[in-house]
Order: sequence, then structure tokens, then C-alpha cells
Amino acid sequence: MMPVLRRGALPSHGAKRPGRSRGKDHGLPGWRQRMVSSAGFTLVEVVVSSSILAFALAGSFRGWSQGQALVQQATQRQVLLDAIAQDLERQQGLVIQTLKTTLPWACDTTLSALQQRLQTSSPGLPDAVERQWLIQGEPPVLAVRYTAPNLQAPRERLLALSGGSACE
Amino acid sequence: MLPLALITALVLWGTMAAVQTWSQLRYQRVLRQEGAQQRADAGHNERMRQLQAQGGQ
Repeated sequence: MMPVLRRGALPSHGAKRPGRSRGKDHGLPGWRQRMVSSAGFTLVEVVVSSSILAFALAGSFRGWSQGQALVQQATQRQVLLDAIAQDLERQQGLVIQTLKTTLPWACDTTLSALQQRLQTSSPGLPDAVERQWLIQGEPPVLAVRYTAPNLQAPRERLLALSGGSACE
Repeated sequence: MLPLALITALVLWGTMAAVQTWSQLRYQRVLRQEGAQQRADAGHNERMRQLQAQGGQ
């Protein structure tokens, strides 16, 4: 019964494509008529569609993992940026507060004293971020600089001036 | 079977493309944020320098 079913199922397939013989199967007469299962798929169909599926799966997995890596990188960078922004606000607030509490003598507060004060009160940053205070420029200016290997450029911001218009 | 496989492949490919596009947009948003911070720093520093120049005169 089985051989009859296998050979007899959907003979029109074989009849439909008699001219399309490839180099592979000319040694096997009637090879194309052989059914893989009773569902009526030829071996060629199964091979082609499963390889399409396999390529699609592999490609989508690759794309998925690339996307995930990119998102992870973006998240790490975002965390660094946020931490730096927060720390910068705190530094600026501290400077303003210090200058305000010593208002009449704010012009006497030297930048190095301010730097000392910032250095002593510095709560944690992420380990990847390095923070340094520097006094730069000809009329000296206190600046804070953040560097991190993940960031494309260091962030630098001037925090306080020596002198300034208020002291005139 | 072949159409089914093609449709499945198309769906998978579309999902992958959407995921990749989304992650690239996310990454670019962070890059834009970084650039905006840099520009804000430059503007702030410029203002401070101007203030100092005014004070020095």
C-alpha cells in the first residue's frame, strides 16, 4: 500500500515540470516525483524553504544581537552622561553657595581655596569617569573637567572667575 | 510550503530591521545629547570669559 501512495500522490507535479531537469537529478529518473511526505511537498521544496528559513533565522539573530549591543552601549553612555551632568550641577551649586555664604569677601576667596573645598566634598562618580579641577587662563579661572574612555570628548566647564564684575 | 517560508523569512527580516533601526535611533539620540552638552559647555565658557573680560576692564 505504501509504495502506491508514495508514487501515486500528486502526479501532476511531475507532469508539470518535465522540462526543468537539473544536472543533479538526471541520473535518477522519476526523482522529482518522489514525495517527501504525504503532505505533498517535493524534496526540492523542502530543502529550499528550509534553507530560506535557516538564513532568515541566522540573519535576524545576527541583527538582533547587533541591535542589543548597540542599545547596551547607548545605555552605558547615557548613564555616564547623566552622572556627569548631575555632578556638574552639584559642583556649580557648591561654588555658588560658597561664594554666597562669604558674600562680602567673595572677591577675597581665592580659586585654590574654592578648589580645596570642592575636592574635600566630592561624592562618588562612576568609576569610569575621571574628574579634575584646574585653574587655567591668564586671569585665572577655576574649571572642572570630566573625562571617560567611553565619551568622545572631555567635558569642561568654567566654575568660577577670579575677580569679575561684582568685585569692581 | 515555499510561500509560507518566504512569508516567515520576510517577517523575521522585518522584525530584525525594525530592531536595528530602533537601536540605531537610540544610539544616535545619546550622541545628540552628548553633542548638545558639549555645545552648552562651550556657550557657558564663552559667557564666563566675556564676563571676565568685562570685569577686567
